[in-house]
Amino acid sequence: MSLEQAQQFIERMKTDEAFRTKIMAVEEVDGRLNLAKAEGYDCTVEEIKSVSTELSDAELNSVVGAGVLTWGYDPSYHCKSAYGGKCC
Amino acid sequence: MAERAIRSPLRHSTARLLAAMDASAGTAVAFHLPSVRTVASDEQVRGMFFLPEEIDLDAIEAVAMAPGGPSFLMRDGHVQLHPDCPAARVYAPTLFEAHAPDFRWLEDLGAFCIGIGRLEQMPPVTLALNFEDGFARGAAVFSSSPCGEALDLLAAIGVRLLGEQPLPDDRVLVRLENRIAAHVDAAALSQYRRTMNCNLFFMSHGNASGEIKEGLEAASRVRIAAGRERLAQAVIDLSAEALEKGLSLQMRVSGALETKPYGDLVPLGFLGMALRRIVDHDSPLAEAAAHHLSRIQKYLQNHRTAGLWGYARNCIPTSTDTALVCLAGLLPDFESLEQLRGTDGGFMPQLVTEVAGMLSMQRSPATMHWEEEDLPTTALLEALRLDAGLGIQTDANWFLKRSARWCGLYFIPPTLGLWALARIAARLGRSGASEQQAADHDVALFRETIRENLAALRTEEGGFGRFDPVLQNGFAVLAMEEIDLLDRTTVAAQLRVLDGWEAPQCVETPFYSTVVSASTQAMVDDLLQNSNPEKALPHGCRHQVSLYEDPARLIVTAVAAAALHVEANPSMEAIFLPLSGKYTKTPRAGLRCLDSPTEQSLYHVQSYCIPLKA
Repeated sequence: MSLEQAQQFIERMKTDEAFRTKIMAVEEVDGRLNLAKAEGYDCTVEEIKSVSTELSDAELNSVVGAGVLTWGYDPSYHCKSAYGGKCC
Repeated sequence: MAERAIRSPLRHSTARLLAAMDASAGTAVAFHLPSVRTVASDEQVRGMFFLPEEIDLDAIEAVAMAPGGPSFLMRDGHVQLHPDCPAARVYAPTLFEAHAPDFRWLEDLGAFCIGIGRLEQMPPVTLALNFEDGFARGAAVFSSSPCGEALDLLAAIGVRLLGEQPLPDDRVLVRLENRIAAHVDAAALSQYRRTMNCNLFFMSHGNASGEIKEGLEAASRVRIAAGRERLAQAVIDLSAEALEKGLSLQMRVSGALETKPYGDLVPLGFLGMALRRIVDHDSPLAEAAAHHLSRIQKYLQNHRTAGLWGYARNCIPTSTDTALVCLAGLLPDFESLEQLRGTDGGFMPQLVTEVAGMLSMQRSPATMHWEEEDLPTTALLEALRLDAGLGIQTDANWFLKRSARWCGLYFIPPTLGLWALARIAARLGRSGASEQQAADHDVALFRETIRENLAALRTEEGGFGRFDPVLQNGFAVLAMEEIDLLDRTTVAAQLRVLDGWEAPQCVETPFYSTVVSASTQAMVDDLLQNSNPEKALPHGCRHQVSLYEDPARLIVTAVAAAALHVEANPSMEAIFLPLSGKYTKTPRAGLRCLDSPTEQSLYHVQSYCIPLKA
């Protein structure tokens, strides 16, 4: 078990759609982590949470730095498209 | 069912009144009058219970429809029986005692109403109801399950059957509720001529046939006719208010507690549609409706962009919004609209470009699933083209091939999607509609597919869908009208529309949108959660749902009004659209009816995520 494996697991979840679909097809969290272990990623819930917090902070800085608008916007600011979501 | 100790039902004034009658009285139904008076005017109360003007209603605790006429338990405790009603005797069972054992199953019910007795040559019946929030809720002990062709029409008198369970003695405990305001309204609309039918229905163990069936059909007609006029007035009032105050739908972003006003043009399309119905109908409100329709049409014309319309003012125009706004009787710039036609012949919702423009939104992985041709939008717009005398690029076979993706990228009520399909199906069915019209058998098959999908959306109690009753049933009525299903099923749906509009239980939600959330945190949240109703992971991607709610009831009222202007026949047996539970064929198009707007949205969007996979 290691933070490194947790980080590798999350990266693969983000980039490999087939892998992500396979993992998320399992109903319970324990089952998902067991499947991840069988795939070579032996990590705990706490390790995943710890690593994801670091990654999310980095993402947030990147997004803010690039001036990208986020979803769930205030239409009074940015609305140009129908049905919410993306501002133009 | 395990037996358990219960408190004596005699603490209810209804039971005490029945306990003052001899068992030979046979049949009586007692009501707690102060509860009835919370939802009925004194005039209505006197009409329902045949009470003369000189009787002081304030002095009455319980009133019973009993042999000979009304009998009373007064507030001071004394009993006043009708002269023809036999009074309880010493050493002989009272009317209540003759049925008391049934209260093993009826538990603490009966505070509002107790009905006991039997019809000649029929087993005895016991009914007990409590009263809460305008509803009488409780159960009845019947010898068998309710039956009869007109059970679907019980909504005409406010009654809903909620389920049943077998009893150890082979009888059935039937749970039910009665919205008393609707019940009283139905009674008043029929000048109280059929008040006794209610007792007859229960004393016949819930048999809605014969005289009861005829009574329910008549009650349906008058309730719908009265509701049509009330809704027409409501549409006129709301149309004026919407223009003056700029009323709109409310957007609720995924997980947010607060909503924000968003969507002021599309509701006007629906209000315009309803106003057109009122104008076309022989109604005293037709002139006023025409005036407001003209105002709405002018307002919408002033808010066109490139000959099309957006969801709200200052939004880019979309094909979906244009189709909905045009329901008000407007025509778009068809040439401009063709820019949104995709390579497969259907309409994309909006233009998407790498860089955002005045008429296009910026391409993004988060909304890649929006870049697909939308089936119901295409159906609405092709129907509009046919109405305008133009040719179309699709045919019945085109829609049939795509009918598995039947519901739409933005429409929540499944019946809204089916209504859109039914509109084009009806027009394709008219001879010579288009040079490209498919063979007649394709049109017939397309209509059959719509019918089967509608059948699959019916619930056991006879309505459509499991949430948002006005929208789900209203669009079902409009869809059935397009494919000429105008029988008892349609009337039953109309009654649910009226009931849902008169007594709203929720804010209804016509539209949704989703965006793909690619953040690590969102992905991890899903990963570490056993169940998440919003997770929707089509192709492994997390979709966040935004809902577009209608708290001002703009679209809700418009759809309800339009649905009640459909002429359907409650006496026509519903042989073409039986209850889903009795429907043996599997619908040709994949379809599921879920339990909430969010769940339904996430179900719909799964069909629109193929580009992500590609």
